[in-house]
Parts: sequence; C-alpha cells; structure tokens
Amino acid sequence: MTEKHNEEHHNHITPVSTYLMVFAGLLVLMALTVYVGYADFGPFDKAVTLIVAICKASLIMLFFMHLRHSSGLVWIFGTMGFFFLIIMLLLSLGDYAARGTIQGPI
Amino acid sequence: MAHSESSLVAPYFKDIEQQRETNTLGMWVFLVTEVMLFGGIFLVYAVYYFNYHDAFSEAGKELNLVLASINTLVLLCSSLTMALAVYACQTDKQKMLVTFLTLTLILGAVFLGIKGFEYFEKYEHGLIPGANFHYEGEYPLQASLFFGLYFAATGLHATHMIVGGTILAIITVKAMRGFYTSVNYDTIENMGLYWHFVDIAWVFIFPLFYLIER
Repeated sequence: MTEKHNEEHHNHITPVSTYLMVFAGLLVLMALTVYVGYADFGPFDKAVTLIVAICKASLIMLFFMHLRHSSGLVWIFGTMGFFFLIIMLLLSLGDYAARGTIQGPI
Repeated sequence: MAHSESSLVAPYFKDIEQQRETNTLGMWVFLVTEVMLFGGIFLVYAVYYFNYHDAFSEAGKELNLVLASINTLVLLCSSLTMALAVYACQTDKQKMLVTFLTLTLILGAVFLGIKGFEYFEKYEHGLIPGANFHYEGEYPLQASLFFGLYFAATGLHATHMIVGGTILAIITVKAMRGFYTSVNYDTIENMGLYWHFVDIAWVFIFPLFYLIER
C-alpha cells in the first residue's frame, strides 16, 4: 500500500492540458497586473499589485514546479524561502518605521 | 544511450525514487538561498520606496513599459515550453523534448536581447548611475538610487538568465544525443525548477519597478 502511495506521489506526470490552462491563467493575471498598475486603488494600490504577483508565483510553483504533487518535505522547502523573506521584510520595515526613518513622501 | 534503471541509482540511495526526491529537494534548498538573494534587493528597494516615494514614482516613468510587458510575455512562454520539455522527457518523447528545450533557449535569448536594448536605451538617455548620470527631473539624487536598484535587480536577473541559458544549451545538446529518458529525467526537472524560479523573480521585478505609480 505504501509503495502504491509512493508511486502516485513521485511519478505524477502533469498532463499538457493542465500546463496550457495554467499558462492561460498566467496570461490573464499578467494583463491584470498591467491594468492594476494603471488603475488607481488609492492606498491599496501597491497591495493589489503584490497580491496579483503572489497569485502568479503560486500558480507557477504549484503547477510548473510540481509542488502540488511533491512530498511534504519539498513543500516545507518550497515555502520556507518566502517565510523567511516575509520575516526579513516585516522586521526590517517595522524597524525603519518605528525609528521614524520612513517619513512618507518627500 | 539506453540506461537500465539500476545503473542510474547511486549506491547510497535505496532506489531511484529516493534519489529523485533527493535531487528535487536539493534544488529547492538552492532556490531558498536564491529567494533570499533577490529578497535583499527587494528589501532595500522597499525601504527607499517608502522614503523617496515621489522621486521613485517620477524616475519609474523613465522605464520602457512596452518592452518590459513583451519581456514578461516572452518569459511566461519560455516557462510553458520548459514545463512541456519536462513533460516530453517524462513521457519519453525525444523529438518533442529537443524541440521544447530549443524553444526555451530561443525565448530566453529573445528576453536577453530585449533587455540589452533597454539597457542601451538607458545608456543613451544618460540614466546609468555614476559620473555620466544625467537626469532632468526634480530629484536627481534619489533617481540615481532608483536606477541603481533597477540595474541591480534586473542585472542579477539577467545574470541568472545567462547562467541558466548556458546550462540549458549544454542540456539541449545532451538531449539531442538521447541522454535523457523517462527514467533519467532529474536534470531536466531541476533545470525546469531553476527556469521557473527565474520567471518568478521577474514576476516581482516587473510590477515593482515598471508599474510604480503609473
């Protein structure tokens, strides 16, 4: 039983149709990125742009990089980079903000 | 070159599945370090973006959005062709494998060509930070910082494309000789992981630099 499970886990071959659908999704998101870049969402402008970028990155990682059918260990490493990146960004930016170095628009 | 499965497995692995998982995991560990490498530039960019918001918005308008959008499309297409190359290798379609590896290589070269033209444009407009930096806008000092970060981020990305393209070219030649099969596809899979990572880096560089307060 374990062996069968392993086989499903590692030998999964993503079909061409999935790749094409993900590619279509990425094209739509790309058009959305440019649209969001031009449109004005007020204070959430940058946040919306980043969310679209994160969606694109997630699609690429899940399907093109086969994370969807990877083992738990690969998942941990796949998300670890972004986990530490978020720690680095949040703590550093929080520090700059708290010290008043970030003064807003000049 | 036909391989029997047992000849492909290194003696310290239980079976080919364990070897494959180890290869994939090793590549992901490397990609974690890459995320942190690009992350450093994004952090510096974020700090200065909040400090010099107006200057960065003004300087960002100097970048060529049309060329960058075309490049985004080119890179997405190359990710698709790379993914299809992995599929071809897993299903032992040798001709398809070579075709898609070559297509990926060509699209990568197109990206670098367009990028090179963009750099040339910046050079002609005197927007390369240094002694000859020449900027008409209101905040030349801060703009110099923006272009410095622009060249650091896109330059690091382009370096990754050049390294990736070189390895891809070697792999393509080996694929033409039938080196990779549905049993022996780890190298193609890892090449794909690297190529998609470089695409993801661009997915963040593109909106951060080119779409800044349009």
